[in-house]
Amino acid sequence: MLSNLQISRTLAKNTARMQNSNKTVSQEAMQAEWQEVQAAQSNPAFFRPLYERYFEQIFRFVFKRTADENIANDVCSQVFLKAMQKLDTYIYKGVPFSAWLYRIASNEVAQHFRNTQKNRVVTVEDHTFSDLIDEVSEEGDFEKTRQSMLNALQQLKETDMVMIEMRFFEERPFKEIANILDITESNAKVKTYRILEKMKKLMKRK
Amino acid sequence: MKKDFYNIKINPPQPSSDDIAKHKNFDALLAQFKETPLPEEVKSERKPRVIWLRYAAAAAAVFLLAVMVRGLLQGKKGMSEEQYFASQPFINPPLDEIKPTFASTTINANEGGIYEYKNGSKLIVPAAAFRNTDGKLVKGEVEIEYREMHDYVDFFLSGIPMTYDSAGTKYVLESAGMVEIIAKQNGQPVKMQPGKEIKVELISYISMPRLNMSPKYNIYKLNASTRSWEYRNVDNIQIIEELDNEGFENEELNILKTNYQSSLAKITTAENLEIKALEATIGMPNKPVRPFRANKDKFSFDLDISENASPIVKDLGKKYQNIIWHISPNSPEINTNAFKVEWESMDLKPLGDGQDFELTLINGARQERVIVTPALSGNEFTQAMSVFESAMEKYRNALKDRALALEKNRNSIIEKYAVQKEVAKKEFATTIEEWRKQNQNDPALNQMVRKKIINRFVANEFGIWNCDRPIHPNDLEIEGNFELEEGTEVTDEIAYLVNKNRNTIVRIYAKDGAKVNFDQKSDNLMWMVTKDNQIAIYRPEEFKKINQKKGGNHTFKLEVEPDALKSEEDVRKVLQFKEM
Repeated sequence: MLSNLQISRTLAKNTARMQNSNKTVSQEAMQAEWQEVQAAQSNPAFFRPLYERYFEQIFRFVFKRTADENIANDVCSQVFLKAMQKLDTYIYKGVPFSAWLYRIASNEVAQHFRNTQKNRVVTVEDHTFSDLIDEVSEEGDFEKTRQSMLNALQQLKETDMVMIEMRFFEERPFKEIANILDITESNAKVKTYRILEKMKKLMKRK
Repeated sequence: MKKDFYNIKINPPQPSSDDIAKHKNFDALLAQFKETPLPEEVKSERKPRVIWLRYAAAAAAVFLLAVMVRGLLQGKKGMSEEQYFASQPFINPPLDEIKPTFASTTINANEGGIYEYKNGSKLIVPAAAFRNTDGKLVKGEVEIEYREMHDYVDFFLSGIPMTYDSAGTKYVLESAGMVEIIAKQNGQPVKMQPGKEIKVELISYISMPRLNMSPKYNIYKLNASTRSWEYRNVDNIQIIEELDNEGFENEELNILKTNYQSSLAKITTAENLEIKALEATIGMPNKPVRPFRANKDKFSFDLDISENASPIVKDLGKKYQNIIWHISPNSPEINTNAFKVEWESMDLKPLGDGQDFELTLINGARQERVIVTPALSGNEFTQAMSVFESAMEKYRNALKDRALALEKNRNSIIEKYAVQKEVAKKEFATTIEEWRKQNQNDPALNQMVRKKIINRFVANEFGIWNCDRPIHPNDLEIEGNFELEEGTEVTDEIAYLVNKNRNTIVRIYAKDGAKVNFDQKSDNLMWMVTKDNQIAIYRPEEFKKINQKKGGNHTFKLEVEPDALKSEEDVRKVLQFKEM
């Protein structure tokens, strides 16, 4: 078990890391990518560079939600197949192409768990979990807080869990989350704030 | 108790990039896409939202239409060479029916082994070198599939790209040989255990100026996921034969070479003597002799062991009461009737390994010689085997102890002489370089000749390994147009350009205005593959006639060779390949 001192050090590090994780894609890069998408729209064989670029990212995204390499592979194949099938409908809106792929991936993961009627997997790492604890709890007893946090997570709606997962467990910037969920950045912030408030209440309930 | 909605996993192991890369397969996805009908929801996915969006929707439709028209107009024609090849399979054999073939062998995974290819190349596989896809050690028989690619015809047929990007610059790879190694067990691919390496000794040929001493090549591993060659190490090349020297004689050079070879021979002799002297300091332990089980189906006979017999024979007679004797397979032929006769005397002497004995039967002046083996049965055999097993254990330990005791000193001897050999080699290179400078106007000394080599390197994973040196494309660059006879259709818009002197091949996206780099001093050859499995070719003599400066424009008129390609030999004939 971590001591309080260790926890606070970990949190400080995590806060710094999250602030640094604001990945941005330049307008030029997005424009160049849009040209690749247009090429792929005219001939599916030209989808290859996009597939090569995003396969690992999407695979990891799916793996974190399934924790099984074979299932992740099946779902990931389905994501790219759907992407190719729907590519004609894709229109460039000034956001990275990856956001569109993540949205398809998120839907495919949800579909997989609906089909199998199993509990959806949520992958948590110690340091990302600490980030979340830091946001919602001031209690010093780490083990106690950890358990009540796990209980609170179990009570979240799927849409709320998606938000917490992306923001805290995957350390994505609000801008990227907004792009993936097709909402505004400020809306993403407000939603996250409300979910955290809800979690605080859930954790206070014994 | 509340029901859990999520399966929360804390710190689960994550797959590595390599693990993920093995699931990547765009060609399979593309095939699946082509086979799968479009789902219905795609057509109705974009539902109309609110009426006030009507105008926006109309504008979007106009925009979409413009995008589609642009896409159609752009098609392949609007693509750069990079985009074109990115849209093609990375390894893209041009002729489905003709590819460099694999040879295969079986190796016991527990013990490892050496595989020797038909041309003398070797794969030295260590013990316990394989793991399955679950990471577990593979035991038992493993099938190794192996193929070599040496020249531009092999590279062309394999469809393996032979260019290398380094810091944004595209280099052409001049190859000194390429191999592909795959391992399978029961049809399932296996991987190499981390830390294990297969030693490769690849026999190949290179072209280089007659007097060049040390060709420098590197080892690259093909990464199909990142579509690139990855630098791994320096290629350890040894020239084993100089070819094309017929008619070339130079007395001064011969003397220099002879001096070098004799100084190398002296060093090697001194090294061998020193190692022998070292090994003599600790004698070899005696290997125990495995008892031989009596076989009732074989001819056997008894012998009375006399007091005059050798100590080993007498010892045998004391230990075992019921020894019988078989004729050894190593024996010269003998008529077994000889054993029905009573002989006056006999002589029985042990031979080399202790398993066989030489028996001489004597009757006056008549003598019969035969090689025989003592054989045991029943409890005596079991008892002898038990003694043998424990003696073998001691023998193995003694061998290990001896090897350990010798190892350090032997290594320091080898290192000492390796330094001497390297010094001699460097001195010879300097001498030759000075000598060449003095004779630089003699064209015969700078003529390109072929040399037979061994590339030595280690492969720590399966796949395609290449011994190459990257060449910067600083040749003449012109803009090319490509013209085929009317009615000729090509399978891909790819032209293959070979520099026959350098063993290089590059693929060009054959559209009008394509950049074509070639060395005017070399024999160049260009071709495309037609839909009728023929080759449309642009020959070296045509290249020689190109009279353009950098940036100039030239139309390559490719001529279709009438014969359809059915075999590798057909391809070699059409592509004017000269055997090394």
